[in-house]
This record gives sequence, structure tokens and C-alpha cells, in this order.
Amino acid sequence: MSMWWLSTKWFQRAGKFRAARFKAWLDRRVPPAQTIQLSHRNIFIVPTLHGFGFVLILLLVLIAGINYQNALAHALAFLMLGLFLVAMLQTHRNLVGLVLSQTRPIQGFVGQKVSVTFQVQSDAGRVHDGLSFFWPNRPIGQGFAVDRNGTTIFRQAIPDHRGWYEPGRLRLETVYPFGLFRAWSWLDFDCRILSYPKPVPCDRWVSQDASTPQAGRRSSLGADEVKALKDFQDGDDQRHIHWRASAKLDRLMVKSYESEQSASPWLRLAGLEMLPMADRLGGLAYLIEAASKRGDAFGLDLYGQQLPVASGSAQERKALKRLALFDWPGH
Amino acid sequence: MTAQRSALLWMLASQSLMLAPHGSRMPLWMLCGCLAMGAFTLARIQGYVRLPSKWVAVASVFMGWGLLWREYGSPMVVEFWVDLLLFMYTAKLLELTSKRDVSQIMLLSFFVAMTHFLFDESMWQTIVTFSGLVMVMATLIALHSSSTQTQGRQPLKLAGIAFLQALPLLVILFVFFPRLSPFWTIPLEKGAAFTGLNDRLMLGDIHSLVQSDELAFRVNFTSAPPASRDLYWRTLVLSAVSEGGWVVGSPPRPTPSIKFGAEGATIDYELLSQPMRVPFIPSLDRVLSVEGTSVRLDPLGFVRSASVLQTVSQYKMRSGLNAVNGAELSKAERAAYLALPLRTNPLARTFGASLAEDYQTPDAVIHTVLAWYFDEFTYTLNPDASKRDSIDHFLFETKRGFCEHFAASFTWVMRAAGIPARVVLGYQGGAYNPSGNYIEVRQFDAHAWSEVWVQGEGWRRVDPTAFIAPERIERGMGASAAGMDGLMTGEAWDYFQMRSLGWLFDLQLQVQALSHLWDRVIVNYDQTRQMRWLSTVWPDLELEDLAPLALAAFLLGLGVITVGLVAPPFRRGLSREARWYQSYLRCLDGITLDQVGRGAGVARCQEAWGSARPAEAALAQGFVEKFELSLYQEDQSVSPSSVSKALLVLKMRLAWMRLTGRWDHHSQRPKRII
Repeated sequence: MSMWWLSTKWFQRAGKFRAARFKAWLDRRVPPAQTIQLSHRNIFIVPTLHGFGFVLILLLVLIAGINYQNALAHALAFLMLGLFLVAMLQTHRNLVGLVLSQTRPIQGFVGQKVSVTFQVQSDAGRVHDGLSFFWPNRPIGQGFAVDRNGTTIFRQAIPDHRGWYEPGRLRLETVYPFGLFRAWSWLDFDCRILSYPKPVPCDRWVSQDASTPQAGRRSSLGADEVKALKDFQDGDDQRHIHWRASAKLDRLMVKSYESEQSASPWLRLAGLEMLPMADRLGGLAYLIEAASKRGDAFGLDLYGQQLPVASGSAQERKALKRLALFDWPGH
Repeated sequence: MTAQRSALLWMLASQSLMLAPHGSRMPLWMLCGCLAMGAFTLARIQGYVRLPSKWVAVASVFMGWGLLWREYGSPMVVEFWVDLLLFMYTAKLLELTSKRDVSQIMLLSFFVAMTHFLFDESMWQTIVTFSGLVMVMATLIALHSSSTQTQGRQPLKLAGIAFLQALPLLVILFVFFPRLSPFWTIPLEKGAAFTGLNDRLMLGDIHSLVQSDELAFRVNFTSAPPASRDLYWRTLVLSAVSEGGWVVGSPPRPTPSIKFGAEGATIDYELLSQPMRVPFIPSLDRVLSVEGTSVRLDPLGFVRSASVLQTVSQYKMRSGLNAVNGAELSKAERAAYLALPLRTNPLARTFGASLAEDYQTPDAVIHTVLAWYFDEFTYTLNPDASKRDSIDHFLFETKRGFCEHFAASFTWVMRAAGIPARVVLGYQGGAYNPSGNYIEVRQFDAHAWSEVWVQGEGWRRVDPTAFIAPERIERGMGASAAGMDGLMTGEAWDYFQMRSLGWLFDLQLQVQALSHLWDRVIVNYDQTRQMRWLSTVWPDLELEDLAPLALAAFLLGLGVITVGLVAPPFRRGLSREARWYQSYLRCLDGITLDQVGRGAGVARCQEAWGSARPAEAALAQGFVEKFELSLYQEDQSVSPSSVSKALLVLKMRLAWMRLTGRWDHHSQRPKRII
């Protein structure tokens, strides 16, 4: 029953031009804000299918009243018209006075769930019944009743691209009390999710010299001397597991190479050029997470945009943010 | 089912209420079927049974259609379509799976409500239907609600509020909406016959009417109503004999020589007729004119309507009370009013012929027969069953009967004696309702009497019953029934029993008066009445002005409701403290307000006020202290109600002070600068 007109052919065919203009209009009409109070400015209302059915029945009753010259059938038709208008006012009133806000700031990885909470409460001192929430365009809560004490709605969003991810407007709608009208509002909480690249597991390879990234080809990896064995940790290449030693010691051991032991703490984008661009950033995200988990200090070098070497969770967040917002003119 | 259990129970309750008014009318099998489907759904809600396969629903729908077709045999009957609608309305329960189905049933309820009014437009029906619709709305509320608070009777309360909000619009539109003429005529007829007079008189017909206490019609007189014995409501004139009974026949048109002199007294009245069985409208004595939709005056002096009345209808009539002089009976008429069948009732015929030989004048014949009735006959509502020659049987064997026997036999004997005569069917008397100042005639007031032609005088009304049972005519049917304990049975008897209970009868009179008012004012509100009503307010209102007027009144009403619904949240949005503060500011006089400006604290205002008008400011001291304690100290000992009370005291004392010192205060007060 939701937004049936969105699925009609003519609406879809109207295309992107309409969508862009609509978005611009909506941004003017219901500007983004952290806390939004619903009022006549940001509430839309349209009869539901049942509302149109009600009008049809109203007309039939009126016609019957006229044809049979029946005064009470007239009265019934007028009562129905009155009820229809009262239903419109009451449905509208069911949203007026609601105050909504959203928690911030939020960040997460592409493809992973990010928790978001919304607070809804009534400022009008009455119960707002039968509320439904859609975000982003999927039902996230049906049948809420909200009063002065308010309600918190927990919801997870899954960013689908790197950078600032805008999950779209929260749609709050209601058909209460009679189901003859649907009132709704599209709310923009100015909410942007900083979404980090999806981590792509890859070998740790760090170029010692930023100017000679070519030295870091994977083919050369195997040629390095095995210097020692160490415990397996996330981020280690599975191909480097020393199976025989692992079996003996009953825990996973990996071969440790000379080149890695002497690696500089710099994680360089240039060092992963054999991967596609998206995977390169994903690889770096993976390496940053792994390093941070180990507690290693690291620095980040994105084609010259450098983050000084440091350690800790603040460094991890800074590095991931750089990855998320990295913009390379070449692609 | 996805809908809440409480919503489903509401649905069943409202659906039963919408079906109930049709319950007594619909075929028995259908009533049973509807009850069964309702009971099944109730069991399903309680979790005892599950939804049957789709084929059960399909099969039952087809079976219902078939049975309805068998029942009515024709699609041209209103009942057929109404019952079909009701059947589908109930059978929807067999495929009830989602919230949407419940919604659809509830929407259909509004159409079902309309069908109630096709059969009954009384005040009671309206109350039942509208309460049913409130239940329907409560169902919708319960269905769409998700709050645990809207359980119990809460949906009904909310629906009632919505109904009351819609009511002003209903009233506005009802008064102002232009009444249109029908778009097309529907050839549908109502199948069920109403109780009432038949268009022929067979002995025993009226007897069945006498047992019915159903309302026939009600009359409002513009002046004082005539006495009960003068209230002869002529409905139809039977001029021919056929198959042993009196029928309307086709008598020749009377010569149009009837003159109404200036001496003829007339009486004006409004008659509100219930649906009738025959297309004749009762009228008093010699009806002179009639106003109403599709009625005309028959040359024989009664009112015909174009078709059988289906609904309550109102007529304005005028009747002459004096006898008519100077009329002539043509040869053809005389022959028609003397005609008798040859083979039936030979004894009555020879009796009449012998009377004609013995007495010279019609008056003498009439008096002889009436005297014979008075001496030898018994008035009873419980006569013996009649045989083939029913008039002979009555006159010479049983000698027991009531109005129909007397009228039929009297007319027969008169014709046999060579005096033109005819039977008149109608009602006699009626009960006066002092609460509503009208006369109410019920079916048990049905009556038959004779009219005989007297040369030089015209048609003279002769009511043999008045000679046998004068109390029937003088005091109405109730008197004669009370005198014949146990003779009347059924509803009519209950009605008279009820009359003997004083206060209950008074109450009943009041309710009946209200119901009569309803029928006159609401049910018969048509274009004429609308224009008459509205032109009392706007004397030069034209028919074309009605639509804009209706629209303007409607928008005005809608505006008021909108403000009422939308405005409160903004007002209520203010905190209690802010409202106190604003109230306090309103107490200040103009100068002080100008001095302090908007948004000044209470202390600052009080200071300015004190310097301008210390006497007034002193009154406010109590409130200000409490207000500040409550607001700034958050003192728990100062309850909000005590602050409100202090504010109220301040306002009242201030108002009193300003009222008493108004004139000198006013003269001192400089003009406020805005």
C-alpha cells in the first residue's frame, strides 16, 4: 500500500530530470536540519486508494438520494463528505507536533551495517498513533505510537559507496485514524555517513622508497629469504603459512620475510598499483585495520598526500577518513 | 489475520448493527446464513477454526445468488439488489485475510447504510444507522491504531468525536445543498406490500387491518381540528360490485355542476402519509384542492397519486365541510350507482325492492334500514365467517358484524331500493396528540361507510356503524375496543393496553410528536420547503443563488472545524509557565506594556506597573510571588494549581476594580501609542 504512485509507469518514465527537480524543490521545502518539528510546512497529504473508494461511495449515495428523492440519503452523503474532510484534518493532525532528531556522527565501511538511531517525540501533548517509518525507502518500523515521552528507533544502514554516504530522507507516514488519507513527511537530518572503503584482504607490502614503487611487485615476494616464523595474525597472507611448523606447534605459523621485517611504517597507495583503484583503497583499509589491531605505528601516503606516522585509534580513524574521502583526478 | 483481534471484534459488532435493520425483512434463509458467517468469523477470531478453502467462499456466493434469484424471481425489485449487496457484504467474511479486507467491508458499510433509508426514514432508523456508522469508524480507528492505549472503548470515543466534528457540515449541507430532480427514473419497485386499505372491499379485509397498530398518516390542522365524529378520511370510492365484493369500478364522470358557495366553510391541513398499499391518499370530506408531488384530484372527490407511495410524503390540502347543493346525477351515473349483479344475495335484493314499495321518500327508506340495524344487529369485531351470499348471510342470519358488513349491506339494500349508493373506504377518527398538536390515524382506524344520492342534496354520507356503535365514531376505535374486551388481538390490543398506562402513554405521545416533527421537517425537506425556509432569512433568494450560498456556508463551516482542529496544538505547545506569563501580561494596562516592551521579566513589569498604578499592581502581588517561587525557586510547596488560582483571583479583582473605577480611570488614561 505504500506510495503506489511511485511504481506507476508514467512516474518512472518521467526520469531523472524530474527526480532532480523534485529533490531541489524538496530541499527548499523541507530543508535539512538536525531536529525537525513537523508542521503544515513539511507534511504532505493525499487520499489513499480507500479514500478514493470512499468518495466513489459518497457519490453513489448522493445519486441514490437524488434519484429516490430521499432526504436521509442526502444527509448520509453529506455526513460522508464531512467525515472525509475531518479524516483529512485528523490524519494531518496526527503528524503535526512530532519532533524528530537523529544521532551523529556516524561512520562505517561500505557493505557493512551502520547503526543509526532516531528519536521521535511529541511536542503537542497527545498520542500520535499508527506511525510508520521508511528509511531509506524501506519500511523500518510499522505501527508506532508516540507520546510526549518519545520513542527511539534503531536502524542499520548499509553504505554502498565510499565517501560521504547519504542514506536519503527518512519518510514518516501515517494513515491513522481512518485510513482514508495518507499523510507523510520526508525528513532530511543532514545525515551523512562517512563510509570507508570496503577492506580487501591483501598482502602486506610496503615500499621503502616511495620513488621506486616498482620494486614492490608481488612476483618478487617469494624470492625473499625466510628469516623466521611468527604467529599468524589477521592480515597475514595465507600462502605464507608454514604448514609443517603449524602442525607441530598446533597453532598457525607464518613465514616471516626479510623484506617485511625491515619494512618502513609507510602504507603507500602507489605500492598496490597492480590492483584496480577501488581494491587498492580497500587493500589499504585492510592494512590499516590490521596494523591498528597489532598496535603498529604507520603512516599513510596517498600519491603524495601524507599522514605522518603514528599509532592508536585516532590515527586509524584519520587514515580511514583520508581513504574514504580520497579523490584522485586520474580516475 | 494481520489485523488486531480487537479491531476484528469491532468489525463484527458494527457489521451486525448495519445488517440488523434489514433482519426482519430479508428472507429467513439469508438471515440464518448471515448469522452463520458471523458466528464462524467470531470462532475464527477466537482461534477455534481456520479459514476454509477459497472454493467454500465461491460456492456460498453462487448459492446465495441463486437462492436470491429464486426468492425474488426478477431483478426489477429493490429488495433483490439490496439483499444481494448485503449477502456480498457478509460473504466477504469468508475471505477475510488482511487489514485491507476489513477496511473494504467498513467502506461498504456506508453504502449499506444508504439502503436502510430506502425502507425506513424514521427518526429511529436514522439513530440506529448513524450509531452503526460511528461503530464502523471505531473499527477503522482500532484497525489503524498501534497504540495499546486505544483499546477498550477508546476507539468509540474517538469515532464519536469525529462524528460530532462532521455533524456541522452535515447540517450546513443539508440545509443549503440545492435539491436536484432525479437524473433518471429507476423502474425498480418494492416487492413487499405495505399494510393498508385495499382497493376493493371483501368482507374480512378490514378485520385484518383493525388488528394492526401501524401508523397510516398524521395531519396538522392550521386551525382547531374538528371533533372525532366529523373526521371521515375518504380514501377511495367503491362504485361497482364484482365477485361478491365492492370494487372501484369505472363510474361515469360526474357532471361538473358542483358549485361551492361562499357559505361553504373550508379547512386547511397538512397530511403526512406513510407508504400506502394503493395509489390513493386519504383526505377529509370534500377535498377542494391538494398540493404535493404527482397527485391529482379525482372527479369523484378523492385524491389519487400517480403511483403507489413508497416513502413518507406530505400534502397540503383544503376541504369543504358543508354539504354540496344543486348537483345533478346524469342518467349514466344513476344507472351505474344502481347496478347490482343478478344472481348473488337474492334476499337482500327482494328486501330492498319491498322497501321501495313501502316507503315513498329516500329518507324514509334510509331511516327504516338504520332503525332495523339499531334494533336487531350487534356490533362486534369478531364476526362469524361469511359464506357465498355474504350479505344475505349477514343480514338475515348472523346479524353480527362491524363497519365493513354494515356499509356493504347498507349500500346493497339502498341500490335494491332504487336509491343510488356507493361504498366509501377510508379512516375514521384518529388520536389527537397534544404534544405535537396533530391528529394521528392508525390502521385500526380503517373504516367503511356509505354515500347515498338524495335528490336536491347530492351525495349524503350515511354511516350505519354510527347507529349501531356510536362510541366507535364518537370516541374512536379505542373506546369500542375497550368495551369489547378480548375481541381485538395482536398489536392493536397492546397499543390500547399501553394507552391505559398514564405516564408511559404521555411519554409515548411526546416521542410520537418528535417522530412526526422529524417526518415533516427532515424527511420531507425538498426544494419547495428549502426555498420556503431559506426565504424567511433571505427574502429575495433565487433558486440560482442556492449553489453559491451552499458553497459559502460549507466553506465557512469547514474553516471553523479546521481552526478548531489545527489551532489547539499551537496553543498547547506553550508551556504552562509561558501561558501564566502571557495571562499576566494581558492584565497590564497599555502604558505599562509600552514601557516594559516585549519579553520583560515579571519583576520588571511589576515595578513599572507599581509606579504607574500602585493600586492595581498591589492586587497582582500574590500571583507574582507564587509565580516566581514556582518558576525560579522551583519550590515544590507551590503547586501549579495554586498559581493558576492566584492568577484567576487577580483577573477577577482587577476586572472588578476597572469596572467600578471605569469612568475616572478612563478619563485619566492617556491615549495609547501604537
